[in-house]
Amino acid sequence: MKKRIGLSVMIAFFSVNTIAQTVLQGMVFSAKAGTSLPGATVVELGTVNGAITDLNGGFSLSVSTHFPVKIVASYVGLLPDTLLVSAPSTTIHFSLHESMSVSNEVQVVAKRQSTEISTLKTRSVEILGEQELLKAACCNLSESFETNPSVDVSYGDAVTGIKEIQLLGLSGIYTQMMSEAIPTLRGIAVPYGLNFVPGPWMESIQISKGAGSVANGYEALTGQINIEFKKPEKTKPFFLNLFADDEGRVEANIVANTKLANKWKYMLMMNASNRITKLDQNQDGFLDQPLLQLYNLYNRFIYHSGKNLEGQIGVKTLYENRSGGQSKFIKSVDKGTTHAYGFEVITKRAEIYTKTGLVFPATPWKSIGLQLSGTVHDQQSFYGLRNYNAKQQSFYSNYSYINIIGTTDHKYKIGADYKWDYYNESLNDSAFTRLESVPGVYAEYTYSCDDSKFGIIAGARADYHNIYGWWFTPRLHVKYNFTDNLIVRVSGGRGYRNPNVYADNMGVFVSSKKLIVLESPKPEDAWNGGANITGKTSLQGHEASLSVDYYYTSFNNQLIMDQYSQSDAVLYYNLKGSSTASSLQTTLSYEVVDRLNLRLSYKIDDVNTDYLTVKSMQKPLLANNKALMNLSYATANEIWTFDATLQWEGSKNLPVAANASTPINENSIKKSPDYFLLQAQVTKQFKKWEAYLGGENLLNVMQHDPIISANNPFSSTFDATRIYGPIMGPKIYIGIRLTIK
Amino acid sequence: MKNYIIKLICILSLISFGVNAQITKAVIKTSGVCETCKETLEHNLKFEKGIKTVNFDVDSKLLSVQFDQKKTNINAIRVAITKIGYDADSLAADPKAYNKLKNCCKKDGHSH
Repeated sequence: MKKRIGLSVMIAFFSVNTIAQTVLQGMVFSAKAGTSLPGATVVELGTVNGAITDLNGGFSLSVSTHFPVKIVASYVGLLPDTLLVSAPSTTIHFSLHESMSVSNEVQVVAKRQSTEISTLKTRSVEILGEQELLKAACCNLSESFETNPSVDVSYGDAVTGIKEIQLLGLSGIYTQMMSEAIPTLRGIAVPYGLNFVPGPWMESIQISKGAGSVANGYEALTGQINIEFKKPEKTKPFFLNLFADDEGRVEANIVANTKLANKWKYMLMMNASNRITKLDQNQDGFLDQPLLQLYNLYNRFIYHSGKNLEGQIGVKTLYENRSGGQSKFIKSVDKGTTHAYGFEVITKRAEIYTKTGLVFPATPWKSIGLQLSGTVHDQQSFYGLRNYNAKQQSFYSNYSYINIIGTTDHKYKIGADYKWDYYNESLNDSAFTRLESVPGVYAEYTYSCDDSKFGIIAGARADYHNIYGWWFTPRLHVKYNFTDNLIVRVSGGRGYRNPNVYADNMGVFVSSKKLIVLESPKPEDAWNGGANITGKTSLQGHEASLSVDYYYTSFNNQLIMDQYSQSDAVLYYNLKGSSTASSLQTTLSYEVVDRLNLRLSYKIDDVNTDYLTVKSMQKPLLANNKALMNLSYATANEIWTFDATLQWEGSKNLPVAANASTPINENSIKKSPDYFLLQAQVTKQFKKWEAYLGGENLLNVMQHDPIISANNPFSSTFDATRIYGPIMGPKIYIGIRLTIK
Repeated sequence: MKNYIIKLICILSLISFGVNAQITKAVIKTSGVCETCKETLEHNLKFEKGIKTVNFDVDSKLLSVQFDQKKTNINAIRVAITKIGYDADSLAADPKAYNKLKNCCKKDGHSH
């Protein structure tokens, strides 16, 4: 109730009660951008009396009831705001905040944490805001998690430069990626996909561990990562970012938007990224980083009818050419021969989506939404003598209906979706095609009320897969507030995923190991359960928060990639026995003195799998213990900001296979050494632009000889996948950001 | 490695912190009305000579500044505010700058 009072702004210009009908006039603004919001809904609470704001964000609303009246303004994507109008005043100004912000709670407090876990939401969602994203200045989504303890980032191999993420200790393939709530980067796009989302395009990232919403599908086994791109309502007309590092990488990003005629807004995002310098610091004959040419374009059109229709159309296109291998490799001469080892991946991707929303002015809690998206993803590649080509065509549609039961405390969402994917892959002489067609229905009930300590989200979905038949997915989230600042959340649910044997593990292409598929893969199926406790307190005016979470994933079936059982081959088979992953993470955030923020985190991952010949082994190349310390400081006016992150990675199991003379087990397996990574960044703000300078791997930690048999890449022992640490020394980068208002 | 550290130290040492400053506080009434006004006022003022901190409270329309008396004075700050497009105590906003403000930042929040 306290919050509600804080929310309602009392407007009392005249203390005269009027009985006759009066017209209230006012405007609705976006709190962040300060711009007016055309098409926002304004309703007298408890009645069907409503209005929609005009092109300038203005409205007039006739009210006939006795004052005071409560007026609600709402807008898609923003938090509704209620104003208590005590008397007929001439103008009412609504200022609507972002739905993810905690601005409800914050009236006077100056700054939001750059990473935060909301105390209001029933789901535990960690939000990486714009401030946090700036800490990883280069270059794309795979690097955005470098200062975040929940998501781990590691190299897949020592040749292609691809970075992979892990959530709850499990591979990123089990995390559902979403672009503004539409599932994206699925299937064969998973391994390289993180590199296709430029950092400066992103507004925020939401990480939710454990079971996700059933409205997004059955695929989130370990969690969901949703990317919000910059929006025309909240950004300045033109933004330019230029970046260069001392390893020869240059980047340019442009984010621009403009108003078009007839209630349309247009936004353009461009990214070009190049690495043209050949670099071989460890002198093993292989380029440490591949050469790169990446061009990325995103056009989006946003429509607000001013009445009840809202829509968006987006088109994303991408071209990437990534090549490397031995520095002496010349494609026209050496490709397909054993003269020199080279690799090249050419990716072309096009994605088009539309979102349509229908709102009802008189009943702002009711809405109908339709999402449609179509994607073509095409990869042509070779890795030494291995040729791998893959094409995926996808279609996705999701129709949803949101309404309430009685009051806004009880909400429900029901919907139907359809997923269609056609895969066409070839590896050397073998070709595979697969068609998946999956219609599904879902229902989700949400109980949430400001006055209640409880919050519940219960959902279930049923899907009919054309190959595997019926899948049933239940998921549950419960929240309990002991106090406003001490919250417990519990979640549980099931998830499914149809694996892609080769695409899911492209890193092993860069080795001489045989790839042996022992049986045809079955769908992966896992239960996930978890709990999170978040406590916040204020120590002498400085906010401190402590969060502890534990998640447990247990597979009913998993496609196992086995590097322990046979030294000259990677085996693929369906799980025999058990496979579980548990993850315990503790994070402390504390503002030590004004504007000096400290984040400390420790994580223990235990990923235990039964392999064919060895039972109960930890996943190879996973650090079971990790620690992270992040310090950030800003001068009084944020003209200077400083940021430093120190990470510790514990030792990892090396994927060394057993043989007749030396059997392996968890205790005898060879382990990598542990190491520290340090990165730091300084940003200076000027009136119209800002400049930043930073460094990564400042302690100069390097894994020596990351490639086995680098001097003989066509021998049976060649292997570039045994990579546990950085392959390059310190990196220094500089960049600028220019904004035109 | 050594080179990198030296480079870094050189750059960090460029950051000089003011010494011998005589810091004073002042509160100025302005005509800002919204979050955008807050952003505009704070962003533009903090780059003015001698300004240490700026904080604008939308509800009370009061702008608190801390500044170095050796480098600036309260009148200069008031003039700077009028040049951004807002009234500062008894000084009226510069009309040209006022006209360039976004609609929501104009005094009555309406477009004309």
